[in-house]
Amino acid sequence: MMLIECPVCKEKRPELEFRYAGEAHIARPEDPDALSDQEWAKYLFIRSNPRGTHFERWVHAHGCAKFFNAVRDTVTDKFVMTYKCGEARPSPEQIAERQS
Amino acid sequence: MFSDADSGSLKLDQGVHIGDCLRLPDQRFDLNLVDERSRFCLRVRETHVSAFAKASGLALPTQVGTTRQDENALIMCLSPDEWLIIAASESKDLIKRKTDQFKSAPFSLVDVSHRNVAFTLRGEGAAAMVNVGCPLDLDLKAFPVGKCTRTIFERAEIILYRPAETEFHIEVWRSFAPYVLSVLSNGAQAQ
Ligand SMILES: [Zn+2]
Repeated sequence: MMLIECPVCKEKRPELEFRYAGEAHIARPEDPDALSDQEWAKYLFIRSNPRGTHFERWVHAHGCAKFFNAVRDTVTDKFVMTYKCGEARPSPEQIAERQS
Repeated sequence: MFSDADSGSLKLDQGVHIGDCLRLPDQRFDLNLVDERSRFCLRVRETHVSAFAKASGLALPTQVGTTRQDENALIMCLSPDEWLIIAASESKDLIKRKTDQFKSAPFSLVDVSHRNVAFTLRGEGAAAMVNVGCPLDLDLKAFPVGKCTRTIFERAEIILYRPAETEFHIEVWRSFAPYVLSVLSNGAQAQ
């Protein structure tokens, strides 16, 4: 079973305790009324879907119940790192350092 | 439903019964249902925790996964802003009175006494029995005495607490208790 490090519990915990919650760092538009239908649809549905490094949200559903962010490689399914909500997206250098 | 206990005092029938297959003569653990307790789910913003603890006199542990036991209650820190408080059933009003002393910010105290039932697993084989349905590492280095956490037991969510090296306290929603017992009894027969 894969272990995922929860940045709130500060522990590696079994994947069964977690739920995936979509791509991270997608800010809700400040003023939805000002958006065209196309722009609103883009916010709702269009995701980056990369091959490789992906920034995504997870929730430690059967643990502390907190959401957090993770960097995961979509090819290898390896978690590079996890970090708390509100923290900046890790730089390519930080990610490379973790992967080495 | 209430029934008269031997002592003559009223005791709540928690509606959960441990079957004979968990009372085998050669098993390496004892499983028991914990008597009725009062339980509260407490939510306080992280920024208000120390002021809350001071005003209420409840010594809240602030590190996730740690517990504190004082003369009134056992308090488990499940999340940076969430605690489970377990006290004697007659201490219900006491806990409410204490938390009412904090007036400077909103918080939430929800009585969940009868939502859960609890089991204790004691003995050399206790950790192995927890691991029948729970994938956590229960080595003393990873899960020391005093640690608590929400986790899963097969398909049911539980709160697991280790009061002693060979003792575990399992909180589970009452409607999931027969399921947890059936998983445990399968595990007991396989061991
Ligand atoms: Zn967690």
